[in-house]
Amino acid sequence: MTTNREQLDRLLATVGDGALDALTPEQVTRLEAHLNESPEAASRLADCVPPLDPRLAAPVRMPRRAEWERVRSAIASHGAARARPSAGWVHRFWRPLAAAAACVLLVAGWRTLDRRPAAATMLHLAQHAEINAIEAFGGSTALVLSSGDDAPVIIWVLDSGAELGA
Amino acid sequence: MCEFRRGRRSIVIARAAVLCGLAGAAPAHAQDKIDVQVWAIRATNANRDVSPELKELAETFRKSGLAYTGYKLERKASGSVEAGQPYATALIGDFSARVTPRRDKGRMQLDIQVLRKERDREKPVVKTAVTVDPGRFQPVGGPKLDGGDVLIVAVTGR
Repeated sequence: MTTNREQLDRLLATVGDGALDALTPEQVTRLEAHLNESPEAASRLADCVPPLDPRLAAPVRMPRRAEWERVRSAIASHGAARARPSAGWVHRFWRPLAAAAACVLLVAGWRTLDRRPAAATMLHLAQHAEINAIEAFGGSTALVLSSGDDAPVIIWVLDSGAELGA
Repeated sequence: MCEFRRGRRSIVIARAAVLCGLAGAAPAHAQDKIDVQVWAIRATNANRDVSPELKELAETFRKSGLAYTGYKLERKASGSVEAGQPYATALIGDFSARVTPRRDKGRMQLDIQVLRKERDREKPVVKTAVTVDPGRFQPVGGPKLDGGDVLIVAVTGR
């Protein structure tokens, strides 16, 4: 029958071997309480050095000089590529810039078309013209001719002594 | 998320470009430019040729008792001027026209002057002020041309 002290020593040894995961939660609680109460036990654990992982114990070969140079040149060329911000900037913003340019061209073209005078292809006479004032000069007479109430009105200048028409 | 943000950025920039363009266009309308057209027509009895554009005018003149058989469109002039400013153009021979357009409750008010050059001076032949629907022509005719023909000036604004 193991004593409480023997059990705690066994737990300490297990932790000292680096197998903390082998303890149950209750054992961890008991061991923590014991370490808090016993400075001697705490110092024993502090002096323990867990064994080295076999994978870490294997020897590692140092890089050769050629390998170092290859790494340095790769870093330098990558840094130079990142130092060209204008190409990257254009690459990032080409879509919105192209959209804005297309819209500006569209608006400019609309304004150009809008400013051209509308050239009629057929002459359509005014149906409801209002004659506000007429004045003839040089002895001529101004007439207002119309074929009916809703017909277009013709303003005609008749030379003195001349006949209407031919 | 990155693709969504790029698309939204494109829309925002494009919308800003359109608004800037429209803002530039707004002052042109605020100046109230009016498009004026002046057609110079030769009425004659020497032939029966009627320019295709003048079929309606020829029929109207016939019904009004003006006995000309041929109507030839000799010159079309057009320009854009601010409301209240004159638009001047040459017609046929020594004749010229000066048209001052204004807007009048959705219609077009036209001050029309037909002038004739005599000894390096332009003298008025007829002055008239008419109100017409935009795009509809008002004819002013009668001044004598060579060979017994007569000048007709048709004016519109919009």
